[in-house]
Amino acid sequence: MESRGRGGSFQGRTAESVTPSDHDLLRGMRDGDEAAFTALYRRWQGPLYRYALRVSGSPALAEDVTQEVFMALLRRNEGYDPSRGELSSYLHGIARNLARRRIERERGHLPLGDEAGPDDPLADLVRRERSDLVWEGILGLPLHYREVVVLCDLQGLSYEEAASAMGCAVGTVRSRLHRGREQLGARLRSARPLPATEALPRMTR
Amino acid sequence: MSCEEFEDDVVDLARGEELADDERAEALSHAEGCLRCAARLDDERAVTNGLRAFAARTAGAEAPARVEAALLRALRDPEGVGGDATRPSHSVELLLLAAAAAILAAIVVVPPRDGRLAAPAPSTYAAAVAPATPEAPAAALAGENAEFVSLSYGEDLRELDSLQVMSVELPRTALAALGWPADSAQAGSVKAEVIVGHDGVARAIRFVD
Repeated sequence: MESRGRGGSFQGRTAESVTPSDHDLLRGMRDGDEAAFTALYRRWQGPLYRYALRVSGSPALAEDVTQEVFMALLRRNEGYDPSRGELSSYLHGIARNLARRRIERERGHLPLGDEAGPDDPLADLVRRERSDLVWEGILGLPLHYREVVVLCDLQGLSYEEAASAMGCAVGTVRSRLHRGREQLGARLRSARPLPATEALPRMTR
Repeated sequence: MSCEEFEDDVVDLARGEELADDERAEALSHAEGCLRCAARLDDERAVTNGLRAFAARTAGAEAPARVEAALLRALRDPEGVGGDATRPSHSVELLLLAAAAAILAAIVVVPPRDGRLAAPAPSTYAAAVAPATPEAPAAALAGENAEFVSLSYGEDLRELDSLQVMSVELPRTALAALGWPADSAQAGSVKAEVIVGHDGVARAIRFVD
């Protein structure tokens, strides 16, 4: 479902050379190569932003989380160990922790982007999609189910990658996904078609 | 395959992933002969379709360009990686607003003294603001010529975009809570002027009587 990042070249590479791996880019970033950092950022900002947006419903939170993930990478870029999993899992793990902390702290008070101007395409998207029963159903799930549904079914992480991001067993991911989808299905089945104004999620700014 | 075993596989079956070919065939065969499990599979497929459609509709959402710009500033200035090089996060802004609300809820706003509404230039404030020193003599903390005492611990007020002076009245008991010498036995209130930033957070205070 999610694109696993985009390729691109960075300083010192030609267009004909292979797309640098995440590890190559991380190494370049550690050496102060701004182009490597930019390539890494552009590869991963979209998936991480979408994770935080989909799990919270808040563009402001998603923006903060995206920035803070990469700030964490700058502060402790030695923290990633390739032998323990893909960079995707590592970055999603940081995003998940940051988003979870904010969602729990600001429960019911997340800014949902209504302050954006009418010409902001992202705000338009969020306004439109918030009336979507699927997103409403996702946002209504308990957080531990919501995270797994978003990671596996929307972000496209495998069970192993999601388990690595969440620091839990694969069996836990499977059982949470099972229960989360079951609850989501029940919500979707019980939802009667509503006018758009009635179908807003039960979240307040 | 039993219905219980089918239930274990139904999510993987509906997602079309993470299931071996022979197990998939066995599960589909079970659903063909079991109405309840067939309906269960239909439900899960409907959830999968809904999620995929939603994922596709939100696939274009990306972080605003200002995030990349802020991170590049942080990269170029490693000393600022602690957070100073980037804009305050929305959560910090919310905390500042909450702090401002808490402070302002504790005070009663009164009309400005002598009809003064316009704030002096920020540099004037910064020059006049003394660092917070609980040991400062009480005489220096009150009166017409009293210095403003910083409430923001190290923040340079000259870097703020806009500042405003508010005349307020506080109960005397609030002085002790703020760390100033106060006789708790005295009733009544004291007048003060508070420098407030554009975010509503109090930055400095001085007592005028």
